[in-house]
Amino acid sequence: MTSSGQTSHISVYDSIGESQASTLLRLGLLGPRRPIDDLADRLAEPGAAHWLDSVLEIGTTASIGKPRSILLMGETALADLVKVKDEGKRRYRMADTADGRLGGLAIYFVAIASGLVHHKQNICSRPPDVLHAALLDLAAAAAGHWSDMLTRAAATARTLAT
Amino acid sequence: MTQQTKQDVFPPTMSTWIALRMSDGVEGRNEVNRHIMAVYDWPLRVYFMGTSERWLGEPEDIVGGFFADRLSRSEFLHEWRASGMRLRRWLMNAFCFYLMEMRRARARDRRAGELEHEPIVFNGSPEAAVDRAFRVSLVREALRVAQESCEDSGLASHWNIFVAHYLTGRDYADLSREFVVTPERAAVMARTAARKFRAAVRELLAGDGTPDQEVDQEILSLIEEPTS
Repeated sequence: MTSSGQTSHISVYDSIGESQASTLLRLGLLGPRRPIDDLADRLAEPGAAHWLDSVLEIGTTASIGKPRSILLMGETALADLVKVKDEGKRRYRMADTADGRLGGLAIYFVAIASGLVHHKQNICSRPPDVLHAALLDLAAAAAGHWSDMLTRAAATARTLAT
Repeated sequence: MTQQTKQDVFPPTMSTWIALRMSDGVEGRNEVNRHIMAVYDWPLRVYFMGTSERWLGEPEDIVGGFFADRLSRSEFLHEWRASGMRLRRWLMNAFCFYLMEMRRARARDRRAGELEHEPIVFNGSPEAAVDRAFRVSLVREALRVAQESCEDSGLASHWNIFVAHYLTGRDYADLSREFVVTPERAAVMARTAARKFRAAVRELLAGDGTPDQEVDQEILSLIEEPTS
């Protein structure tokens, strides 16, 4: 495989038949939607990194310290990450706007990812294999350091699943 | 990854894009025509090859002649937009008329004789055949569009991993060695590219005339169409 231009794949595209086209076409489906799909779409929007920073900068996370230090750098005790995760869950349930719910869900998953990356612990009730797929989906949509952390968390979840 | 790389290259919907470009002079119309030929050339060839009119000529010549004739008419796509039909159905109907016109022209040249008044016969369901061909053509074009979008966003490696995984079936552990990333990073890169592909599929269906809220239903109906 090369990283060159489009011509390197043309023959592969032209060899696609009806059966493979059906398989690929399924990737075009949006539904049935899970909450995490809405969060992934939100994380893929322009300005999402700023949005994520802003939702983390209030409440429990902010009371513990700087969100980026807490979540990205591994400077927080596991018990505090559980508190952040629980606040995310609470915000998801209590928010009266769709964006507020997504903010809660983002906090929830970022706290879980931090627990996996920095403490090698799954702090939620989701099985590691389910968590693995969810974290990959979020990492694919997120930007920069958040994507990197979610990716590393997925790797840890895979390890825990085996 | 920067925010710029996450933005789609498409306008809100492809049908909106077609409408905008159609009103954008000769250059805009040429761009719309190139898009239509890229997606609908193969379905119309398949339609032609299933008709009783194969004797009229080679599929690429006949379909090429149809596009040259109809897409040069300024009202053609405006009439499609007013019809509310899927573009592939509109083109199929227009192509059927075009074949009859060609047959009449051949009759005047005494090459069609008594066939002039016979209906065009299709072996099987023409709609099903066109839909099957459209499914393949749509996916091929979506791959090209998504690849271009990835490359424009600095995501060429993401696209290469997507192709290697989804089209040629290689697993992420294998790809992680070639691309010198973790298996999870390979999976994430493929998923990022898959989001571009999904956007391309949905925009192309919007361009075919599918309302946004019906795109999933349209995909399922195309997938569920019998393959033979």
